[in-house]
Amino acid sequence: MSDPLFRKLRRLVPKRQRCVFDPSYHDLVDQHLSSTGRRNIPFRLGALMLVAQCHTLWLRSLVKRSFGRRFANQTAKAPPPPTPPHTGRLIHSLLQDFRYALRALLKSPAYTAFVVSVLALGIGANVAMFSVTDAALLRALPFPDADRLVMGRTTWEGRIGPSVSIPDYRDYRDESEVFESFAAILGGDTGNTITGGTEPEWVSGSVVSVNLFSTLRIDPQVGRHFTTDEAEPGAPNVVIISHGYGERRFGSVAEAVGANLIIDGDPYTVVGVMPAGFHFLHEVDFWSPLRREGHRGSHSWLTVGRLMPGVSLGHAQSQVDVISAQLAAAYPETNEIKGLLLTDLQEVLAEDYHLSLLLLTGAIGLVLLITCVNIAGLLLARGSTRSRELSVRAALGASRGRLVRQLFTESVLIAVAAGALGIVLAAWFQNLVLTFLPLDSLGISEVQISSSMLLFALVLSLGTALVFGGAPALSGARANPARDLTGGTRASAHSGATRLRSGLVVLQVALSVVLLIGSGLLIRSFARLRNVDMGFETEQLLTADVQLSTSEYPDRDARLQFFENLLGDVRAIPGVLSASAINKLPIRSPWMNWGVWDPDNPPQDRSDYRSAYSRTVLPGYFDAMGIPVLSGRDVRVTDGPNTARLVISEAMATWFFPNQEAVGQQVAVNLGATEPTNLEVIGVVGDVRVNTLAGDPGFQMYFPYTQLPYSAMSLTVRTQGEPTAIVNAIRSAIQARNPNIPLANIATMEQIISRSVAASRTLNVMLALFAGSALLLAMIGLYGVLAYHVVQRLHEIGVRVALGASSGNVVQLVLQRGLLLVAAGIALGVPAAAGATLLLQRQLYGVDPTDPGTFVGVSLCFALVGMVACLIPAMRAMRVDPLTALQPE
Amino acid sequence: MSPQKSRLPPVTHLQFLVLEFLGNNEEPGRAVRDMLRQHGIKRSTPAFYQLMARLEEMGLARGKYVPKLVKGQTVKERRYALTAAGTRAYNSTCAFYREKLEFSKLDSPQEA
Repeated sequence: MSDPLFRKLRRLVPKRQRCVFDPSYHDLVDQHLSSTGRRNIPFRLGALMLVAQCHTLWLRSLVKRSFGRRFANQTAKAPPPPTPPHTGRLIHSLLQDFRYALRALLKSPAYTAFVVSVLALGIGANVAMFSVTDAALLRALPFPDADRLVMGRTTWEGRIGPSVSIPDYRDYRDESEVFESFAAILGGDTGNTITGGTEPEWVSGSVVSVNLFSTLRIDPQVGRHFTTDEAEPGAPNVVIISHGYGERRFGSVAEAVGANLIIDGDPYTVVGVMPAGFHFLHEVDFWSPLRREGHRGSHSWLTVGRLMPGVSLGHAQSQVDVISAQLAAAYPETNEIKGLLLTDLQEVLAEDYHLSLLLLTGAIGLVLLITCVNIAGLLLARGSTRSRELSVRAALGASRGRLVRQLFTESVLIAVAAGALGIVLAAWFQNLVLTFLPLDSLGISEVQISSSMLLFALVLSLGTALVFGGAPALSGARANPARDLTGGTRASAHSGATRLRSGLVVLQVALSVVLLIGSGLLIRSFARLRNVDMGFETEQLLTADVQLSTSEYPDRDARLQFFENLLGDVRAIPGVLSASAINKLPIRSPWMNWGVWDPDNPPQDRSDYRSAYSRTVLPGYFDAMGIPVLSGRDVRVTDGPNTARLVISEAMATWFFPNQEAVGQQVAVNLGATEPTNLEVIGVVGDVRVNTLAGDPGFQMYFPYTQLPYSAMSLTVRTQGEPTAIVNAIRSAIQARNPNIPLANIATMEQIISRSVAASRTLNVMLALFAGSALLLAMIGLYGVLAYHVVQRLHEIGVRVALGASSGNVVQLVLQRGLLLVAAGIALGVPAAAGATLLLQRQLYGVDPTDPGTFVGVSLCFALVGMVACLIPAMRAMRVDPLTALQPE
Repeated sequence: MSPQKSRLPPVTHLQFLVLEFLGNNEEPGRAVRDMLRQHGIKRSTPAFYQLMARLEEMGLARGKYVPKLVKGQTVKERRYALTAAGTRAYNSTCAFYREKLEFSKLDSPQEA
């Protein structure tokens, strides 16, 4: 479905409920269009409500499935279960501890609810992160025997390409004996127009070798695989479509097989429909069989192989290396330094997420550790107030071990309750994580609750119980009846427990400093990335794709005439300042770089070889984009097909023609033919970042449309006001020219840039969220320790005030202690952060991992926030009345 | 003559109502929901479609998406029809109650 809101919301709905959400959403659309004719704010609210209702239904069915039968059985049995006739002493005392712990926790419901919910949030987030990481990095791909699937990527003297040429692919497929099957898929998706329905539809497709699906061992849900005959040139046009497109187009997938589709003006027969949820590398609507004969120097294909049973990756690689050497000997001009690297498919697909997932898992683990430390502090404080009760138990004969066990049982109970709640929360968190960090290339749209996830939750719960409950149990069980039962509240202040609590606060501050510095570095890096000079003006620039049918517009003249007329119409729309078109938009469509050199000085070895991003533009492109023309001129319609001209970027001009005028010079370009083509430079323009925001912009060359007339072009329209306001006018202009051409992928340039940094932004937002939580927890811990410290020293403060201490002296007393703890935490955290942030090096742009500004800034921020946390206990100490404080208890 | 022991109907009252409404026609989900509302059964849209999804899971109904034009825009509509199993379930439920009524020991309200 092309509705982006639908796609986003659908991801938030549990998989089992999607069959409920989909028709409900369509009904809502129908209802709103029928009544108001548009999708307004009430519609969006309604759609969100649907998501919430689906979650409620899902939860209800989950509870019903899990507990329904048990409850039913219990209610059926009227009498309570009989007491076991005999229980061992240990079991009996354990049960006693359990009952006692339960009573103790229920006696302070607010405290219990707070601790359980904070811990549940921590455990839930960790379990969700674990399950996503487990699915992405550890668990097998959703294909049978996925451990035998490998990806073959071209290497250039060891540097990964990764695309493979068609002749190379065929040679590896035919010559190797280690693959059960070896398949190829186009490196990117194709934009196509399907006509014949109520209105033209823009879809995305892919070209695959006929054995791709059998290599993955995924059968079409209905219909059949491609046959080998269908890979032959001249065979009837056939496609296999996705389940989503089948439902969207035909209502039911069963009706799709045998149906005809007009794709880019050519008729195709649907021979199969893939199962729901299947996609490989790209999410496309259809797949067509590979029939092309490519050039050995043109690399656009990715290869996937299934190893024969028992063949190891190393063995396969050594055989492939032999074939690479044979190809290098046979085709030295193209294959001299080329190789093929086989890598486990899962490893390749998870490469993009690997570091982000590990960073987030580490960060969320740290937050849980800080939570545990915080709760340990709370338990210690609670243990101090219960010292009298514990002393009574000790005086009545309870051993220290028994008291430890009793206190620890309380911690285990809290952890188990939090773990159970955490699993429920994890189910929601998973969807949230996948919404922010979609793992599309791995084919993971949802992670099910698995046994490994439940086991992890159990281990994590018990582990947290040990971390936060261990020290307080040992400290609390150090009961001293002689002191505690005679000395009143002041006597209950164990200096050991106080030291431990202070130590815990120092630890919390140190861990939070690590997280805050990491997050601060990423935020600074992101800010620099967003402010990078793109080489063109990004504001008020609308882009949209137009795909011409190759049968309707078969030649250069027809295409040129259409685009010339269309651009004339678009420029006449009120509010449009300038308009043009390019075959590949900057940032959104990277790559497509061709070899280029000075014809008078051809490269002698590989180090002299340079490549430039190749783009085809219509006249007015530089003006519309705001790219400065530094010398020479823009491309013109009169730069006909036989004139061999191009415009190059400033960096390219400086590299090839240093200290001389580039305009009028010749450059040789490898256009994929056997001989390079010499082209005359007619203009030099500013450098543009066409690939990514970070990194070197590289060289760019722009060909006039008359020389490379692509059927798919992207419009670039500079507007006076809001760019999206003219979308309908552009659509009408296209419809008036040809009603079979849709306007697709409409986006402002700012949206395109924003999407390109979405992954960095997600990482930043999540890490900032974790760092913020850590800071808050550390401050709560600091406040708790100081508040307790003030209560403990009330008597002493009273004496000081009675002897003439001023308010300032009392505040100083408390602040001094608080800031000492913060300073100790910072002193521990900064060196730890210096080590930890080295892991972030690859994620940073323009910021050093040990950036002093961030380190100092975070330390000062912590000192400031620490001071605020100290102020409330300090003010309380200042208001101590000596008469009240010195009264005997 | 004692009545022949027949099995309990495989569908609930609500499901029976839906099967009866679908009959030999193909009906959009919204129409089915409106019909239920007229019988005083108010359900949220997701709850209603969960009911329909269950019928589909049981193999009693078959759903499919049909595109339609609303104010110039294409929207999809989920339409439902009875399967052969659905028709059988409906008929067996009717037969069950018909048999019970035939051998009922209670006077019908009209007779009272």
